[in-house]
Amino acid sequence: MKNKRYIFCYLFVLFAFLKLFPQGGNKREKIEALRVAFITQKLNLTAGESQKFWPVYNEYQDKLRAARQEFRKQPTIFTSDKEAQDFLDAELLLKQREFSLYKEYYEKIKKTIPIKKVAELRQAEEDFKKELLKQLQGKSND
Amino acid sequence: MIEGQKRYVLKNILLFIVLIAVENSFAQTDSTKKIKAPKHYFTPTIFSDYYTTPEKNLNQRFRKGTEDPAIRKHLENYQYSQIVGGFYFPIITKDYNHTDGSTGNFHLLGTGSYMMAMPRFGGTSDHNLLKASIGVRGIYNSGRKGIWFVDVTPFMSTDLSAHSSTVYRWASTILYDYMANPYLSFRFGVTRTYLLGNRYHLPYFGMRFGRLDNIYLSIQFPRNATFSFPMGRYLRGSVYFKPMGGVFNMANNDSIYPKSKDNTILYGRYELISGFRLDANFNKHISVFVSTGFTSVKSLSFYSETENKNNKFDLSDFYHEKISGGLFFNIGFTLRIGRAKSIYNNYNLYETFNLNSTIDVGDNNTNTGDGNIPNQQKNKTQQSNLKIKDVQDLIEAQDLY
Repeated sequence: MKNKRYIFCYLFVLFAFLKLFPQGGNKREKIEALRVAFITQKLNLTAGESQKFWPVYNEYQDKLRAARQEFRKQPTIFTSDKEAQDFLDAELLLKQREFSLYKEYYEKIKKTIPIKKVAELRQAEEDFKKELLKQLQGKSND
Repeated sequence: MIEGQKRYVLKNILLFIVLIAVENSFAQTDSTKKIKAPKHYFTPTIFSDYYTTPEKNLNQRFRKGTEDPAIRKHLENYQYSQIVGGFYFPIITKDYNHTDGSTGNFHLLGTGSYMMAMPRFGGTSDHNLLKASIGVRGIYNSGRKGIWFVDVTPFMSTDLSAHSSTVYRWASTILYDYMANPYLSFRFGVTRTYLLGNRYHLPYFGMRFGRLDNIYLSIQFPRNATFSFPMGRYLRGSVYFKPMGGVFNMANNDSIYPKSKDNTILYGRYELISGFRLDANFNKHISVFVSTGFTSVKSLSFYSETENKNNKFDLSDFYHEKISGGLFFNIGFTLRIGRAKSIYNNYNLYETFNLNSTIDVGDNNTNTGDGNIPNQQKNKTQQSNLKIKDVQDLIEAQDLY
């Protein structure tokens, strides 16, 4: 009898957690995972290249994402000139950070994979974006 | 340890867990806080599981020399269940960029666990036996082929239901993991464990065939043997064998040991379980699992505390009975709080995570699962219900024209 009580308490806590946390998976995470699969196939990375490349590339993407998320916290409706100026300053800062990260990490990535593949990486990223955009456009046409 | 102290320790462990959760939730919601890229690969993680077996009559087989029908009659029948909870959190994470382009990292994790063993006998009062631990583990991933793992888990064991003595012990593991490639890894080391009885010093040997994000077979002596396979994107099934057990301090208030006036005896259990487990990894924050199967090679022992005072390894039991096998039921969850550094396709880190989950916090041989290792993705970009906010980190305004 006591055993059943424990099971019910446990199941209650479990379902409470499931309600608290979003279900069905985070779509952005899923897209990130698909991008990784897309790039891996496009660049045809060897096991050795993959072992060195992904830690550096993931770190680059984490920093880039954090910079973009921070910029998105800016208000987009401006009630004063100062707010508008702050927005433009933040955008400029984002561009500078993106460029400095691009420069820093492409130097690091060059140490992990052959230069040809570094060039192909840029193209692979673009191709993946195009795929996503096609789907977004298809949806807006519907 | 008196009752008030026991409650105080438990309350503090719970308070600590709550504080970590609250701190992390505020860290994510504070709009004025500057967003930084995550610092750690491991996130603060809380896990819990519940395990139960059905009631068995004690009419099985005694081990020679431990026949005591009077104790058997006194105990009547036997049922066992346990609740395990625990946490780990990153204290230090350090990356090392090697000159050959590889990235190594060091992780220092704080760990803590509690385990409430609940043996139930028809003829005695209920006993809730606590085993609680606070420890640390360090993992060095070279970023090439090798990973070093060191875990130290001091723990205490006492009976929460009646007055008993408290014993302090420690379990530990040190091992080296050689990952030849994403499909093959070996682990060698030594472990000091209480899973199979009192203070066993055992060699650790493990090997894995197959990728951790796909189908693999992993044999990790003395922890488990597992065949694991993905079932779609969010589910993972596994068939496994593993030992479970331990030695716990138990109050002798029911005079199970009638030969002396000891207020504490030692309760030991051992079983080998084989079952199927289904893990559902809803997202990177929450995983749940259910598992069921058969428990076999099951035994129940009692040891005198005073007579074993000088026995550091093998304890001499005054009662030992083999229990017939049966079904078991196991359910659990893992919560990962906050953001972590991305680990996509980083097989060294997949191996690091698997190492961390295989050698569980608290030496109870529970397994938090590898919910933070995403199942391998096929290269198909077709997405349903795609929205701008899902891709805004990937595309820039000029991509749209």
